[in-house]
Amino acid sequence: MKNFKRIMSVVFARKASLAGFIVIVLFVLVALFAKQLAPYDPGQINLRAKTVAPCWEHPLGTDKLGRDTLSRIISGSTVTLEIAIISVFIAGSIGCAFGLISGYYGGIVDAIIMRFTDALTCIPKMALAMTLTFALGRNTFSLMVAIGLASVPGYIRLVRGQVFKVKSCDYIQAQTIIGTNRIKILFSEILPNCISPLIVYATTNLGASIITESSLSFIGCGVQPPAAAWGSMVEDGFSLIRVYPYLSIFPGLAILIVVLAFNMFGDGLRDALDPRISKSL
Amino acid sequence: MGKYVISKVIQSLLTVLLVSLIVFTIIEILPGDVGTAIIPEDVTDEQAEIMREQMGLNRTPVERYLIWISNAIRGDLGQSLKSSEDVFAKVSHALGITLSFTIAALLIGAVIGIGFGIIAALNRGRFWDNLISVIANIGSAAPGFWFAIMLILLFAVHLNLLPVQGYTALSVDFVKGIRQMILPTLVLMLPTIAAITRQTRSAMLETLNQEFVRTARSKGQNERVVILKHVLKNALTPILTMFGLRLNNCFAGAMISESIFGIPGMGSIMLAAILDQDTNVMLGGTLFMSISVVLITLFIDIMYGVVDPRMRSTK
Repeated sequence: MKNFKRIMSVVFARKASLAGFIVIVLFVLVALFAKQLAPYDPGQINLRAKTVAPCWEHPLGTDKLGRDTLSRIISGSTVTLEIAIISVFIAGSIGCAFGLISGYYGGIVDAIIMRFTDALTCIPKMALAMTLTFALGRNTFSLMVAIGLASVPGYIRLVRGQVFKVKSCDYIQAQTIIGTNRIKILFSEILPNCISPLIVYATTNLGASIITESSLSFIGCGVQPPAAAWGSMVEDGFSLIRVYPYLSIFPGLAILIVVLAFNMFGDGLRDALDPRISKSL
Repeated sequence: MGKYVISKVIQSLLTVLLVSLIVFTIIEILPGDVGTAIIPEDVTDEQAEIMREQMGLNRTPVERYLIWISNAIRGDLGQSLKSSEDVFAKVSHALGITLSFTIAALLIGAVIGIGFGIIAALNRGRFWDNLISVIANIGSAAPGFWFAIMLILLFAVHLNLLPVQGYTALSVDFVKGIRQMILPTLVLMLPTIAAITRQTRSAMLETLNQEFVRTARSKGQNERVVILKHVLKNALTPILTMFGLRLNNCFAGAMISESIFGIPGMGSIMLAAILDQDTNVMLGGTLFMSISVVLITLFIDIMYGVVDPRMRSTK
């Protein structure tokens, strides 16, 4: 707890990380209370008020079916957050498990896992996610699994590297010599050492997952209409870009701001958790 | 050195083989099989059964994989289920188009990124560092498809300087082709610049603290020589490592921007293949892109061996 306070004070000392944190908190609150916050029903079609320019009634305007853009961005935040968190959770737990096994047992097990990781890294993430969403069926859950699986290799490498670093430490070797159960060493000594780099990586990975999800939604492989998703809203507005550019600008800005916030907060966390780097930055 | 190269080549071949296995497995779990996609609805069950037999669909997945991979090694990736085009020809043509602007974006982006990174590291905490950091942060957070649309809005709609969409082979009309390539290349360049800037900056800062830099300086070495010869040369290793990964990311960007700019490259044919359930094209396309990434990584690994003798002895 004391450690937590120290880390947070380092993070908040940097303006950029503090700003990132505030934006993330706001984003989560908006996503949680989307139904209460949205001024209009995000799916409400109103052909008498289509493509209204930003004004007092519709701060961000309306789309070609007269749906309020602000309400759709607010409602889209829920699905964005859901997919980002669950996909990162999937990637993190699978990656962590394989990384631990690979790093701790080494030898042939490590070689096999790493060759598969190398192969997965070489497959273009977008192609992998696209194919997977289709293989698993076009719904939000398969989207989460696809985005998650596509980012597994990064976690495996991270955890494996960390395990290698810790494994050779004297206190771990001492534990092994006195005959402590290997599984126990793995979970009570080695895993805790992986937590802080994992948190940093996961934070920036949340941003990356949001970009992947919105890109997939943009090309029509992601969140399916009529549900509002930021990526598909940009795509919706693209055909009218010459006349109503704000249809694409605002949802894209929403993605940019949220991803930027995760990256800046992640940078701050990394500096706070790894003092060696923060000295040089 | 020879041993090092051979072991790297074998490793890469193994990676390609595993890639094919992974991709084949994913396609295997697709709902329905190739048969349901191409056998017409108006044939009797017996006829359908004969067709399935002829296409080898009744064999086990393992058998089908072995047949597919042994054909693939001989350069036969089968036919597109939709248009009966030869997949190898179709995919290699599309890959050429995609690579032409991905490689351009990667190289120009790397040069600019390394330049930005050096400037930022040398002016740490001052105006230029902050400005470059802001650009790099936005560059890595802006979704490519949105950035593409903003570029179209600015350069094509408002300033009317460049065409909105389209693709012309450079051999057909060079000027037109280049003009059409500028925006898609810019889209892929932005995240590349952002990532390489950040990587260069932190690698430079780390190297600047090393003892050999202090030694070089205390020898009275010219500062420019110190930076270029001692610091940058040593900082380049982690930057180079990123190249394979960057190509992979550029492919992701390319797949999206191709659909925006109407370029008939990998992204366009992959998206069409997925919508049509054209598994042969999906398999061939993913395999080709992965092989490009493997080749770039292999090339960089071998370059390491040439530049840094220490790499040859480590695994």
